[in-house]
Amino acid sequence: MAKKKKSSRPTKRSTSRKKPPAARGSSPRVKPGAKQPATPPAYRIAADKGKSTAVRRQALADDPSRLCESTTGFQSMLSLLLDTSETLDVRLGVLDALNAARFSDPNFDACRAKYIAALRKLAEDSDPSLRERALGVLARDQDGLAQKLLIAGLKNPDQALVPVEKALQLLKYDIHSDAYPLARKIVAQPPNALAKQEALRLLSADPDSVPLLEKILRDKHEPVEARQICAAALNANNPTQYLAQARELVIDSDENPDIQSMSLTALTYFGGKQLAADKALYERVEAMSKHSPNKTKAVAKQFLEKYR
Amino acid sequence: MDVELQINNSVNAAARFVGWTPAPCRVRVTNPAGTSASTVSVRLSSATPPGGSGAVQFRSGTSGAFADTLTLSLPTAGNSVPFFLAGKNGQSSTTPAGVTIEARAGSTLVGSVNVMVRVRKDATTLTDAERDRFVSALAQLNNQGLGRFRDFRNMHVVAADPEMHRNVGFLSWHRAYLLDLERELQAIDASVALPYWRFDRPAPSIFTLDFLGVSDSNGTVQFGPNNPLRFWTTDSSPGVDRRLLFNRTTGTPPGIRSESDTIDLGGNPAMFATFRRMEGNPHGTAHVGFVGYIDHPDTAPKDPLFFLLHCNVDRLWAKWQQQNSRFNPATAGSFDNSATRIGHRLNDTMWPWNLSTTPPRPAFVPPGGTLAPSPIVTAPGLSPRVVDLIDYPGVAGTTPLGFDYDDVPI
Repeated sequence: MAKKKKSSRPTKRSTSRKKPPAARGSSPRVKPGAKQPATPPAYRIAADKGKSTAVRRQALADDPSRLCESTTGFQSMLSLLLDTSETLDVRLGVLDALNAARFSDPNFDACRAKYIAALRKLAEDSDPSLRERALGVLARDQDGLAQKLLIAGLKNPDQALVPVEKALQLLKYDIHSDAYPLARKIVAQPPNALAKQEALRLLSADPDSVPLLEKILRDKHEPVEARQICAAALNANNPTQYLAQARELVIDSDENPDIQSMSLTALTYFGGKQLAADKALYERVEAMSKHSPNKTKAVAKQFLEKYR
Repeated sequence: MDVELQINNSVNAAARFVGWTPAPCRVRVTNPAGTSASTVSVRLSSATPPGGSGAVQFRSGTSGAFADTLTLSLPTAGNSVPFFLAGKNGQSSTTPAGVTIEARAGSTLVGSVNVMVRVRKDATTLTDAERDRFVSALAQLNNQGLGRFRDFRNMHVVAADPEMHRNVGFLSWHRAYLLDLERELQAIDASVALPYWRFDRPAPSIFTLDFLGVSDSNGTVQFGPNNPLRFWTTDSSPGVDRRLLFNRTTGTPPGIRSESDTIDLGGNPAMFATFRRMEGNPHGTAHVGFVGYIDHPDTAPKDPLFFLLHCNVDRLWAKWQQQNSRFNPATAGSFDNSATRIGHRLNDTMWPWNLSTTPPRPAFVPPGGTLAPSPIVTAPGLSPRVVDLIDYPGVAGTTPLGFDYDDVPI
């Protein structure tokens, strides 16, 4: 293509004329042996207990890419995070800033070990929301200590740092086989509905749990939410087996409408060509295309179009 | 008499998509019946077909004004005559039927073809049908955890972090990543373009059962029974973990930088070296506006929202580029040449598309292979360099990349 002239349209510019910040280099800003940079102003504001929480939170959010620029500044933020006399809001703001720095601060690698160490301390903080947030990040990091703490909490409720359903959700990030028996036990005797659902989700990675997932999926006495989780879990574990079950669920005209809708969606999107020859299924879906809620009708029509 | 219209210089139906960036086209006489002259005058115009939407404009050459119609003199021997077609700013198609391009000799219709004006849009402005087509394509790409999406998940992991974050090439890398995914979606449904989540404004219509789901009290996302994302699976685990740290209907991620303040990061004169601080806020701040997959660099792409978040990051870069004429890498301020690490300098190829395992590139097999090709453009190539992602609309003399944003005019 020939070179184009630049557009003559006036460019839109913001009316704000803030002084541009200094350009940022691409390499870590603190070279070994160099004089330590001063703490960026935003983090001095964040550490100032004389300022309002709102001002401190905004300062923390200002530029996460500079959090690790100064060793002193970074250390002051860790101290703030672990300071149990500090307001929860500010501590959460520090945690957010640290987590955002992971995505953006060129010096983050140098700070990582201390960041993880701080999260591990926070995992046993007196505040439940901080514990949950810290354990969440550590679990996504596949941190071994976090795993141990979560498993210990499931085995012994007195040691639980987070609710059962949260522990199960976080164990999913790095499943070890010792989590499966605990999850099956919770399915059998759930402390609450969410815990059962998370246990079923965790079991999606366990091939030995397929019969359990199928059983719950087909049991009309089970709560619909649990059955839907089993559908997704079985689908993740063994898609072929799930689609076979989905067919049966669609054909059964006494089945729960949401379960049928979900099953029909699965068959429509992920079913194989052999479904075109399934006359009983096709006739059932034809009926659904006429006598269902609108969204299910739409999926039924998609199915009929695909497998005509 | 019959004429053949080639959009993006192709007879392939998959090439019948345009954005705001002028698309090279051709028209030629394929059947000269009814005329004995050596040339024939043909007038190009557009019409809205049943179920269609959008608007286009024509231009005969690479410069000059666009118009609603264009009259060309075509050799009846069949030689092609070039012209350019572009969507009219602000008038994209919402339906695949798009716009009909008509060629008339006198009052006789001698050729026509349907074209869709396809651009990346604010996800809150999608029609239900557009939303459903996008969700459907995404679910099929994931294919219950068995599909090509696995490669996209595996490209964005902590072991490869130095290739994509915390360095100068952050924006180029993610632009290539989004383009690769979008092209794979378009191979499933060509009418789909990646939408963006405008994170500095409330977006309640995104966090719904029919779209990207509603979080329960444990931070597990619920989808409607007819939403195929119900079967979203990554790393053999079904579902999405996501809890919002802001009000779903009225809020935005805490502390997020506004669009205008983000554009202003570049300063005056506009410099990429300072603009790219947006990697911290709003980019990082948007990520940590949630608890769940998206708040961690390793697990972030397990949440489909990740791609809408990054589409907005890319749009902000595109808007800054457009407002400050920063498309030419040779222009001071269009890029930052301070990088020393491979993968972040202008002429470096980018992992994984370069298929390299030579240190310091990641040691594992690069997932996904080369970058997906497109039926409408040849750029940025199978193994793009950082520089190849800068001039996305082709205004600085390169070949366009084949996408535009609804609110970034070209």
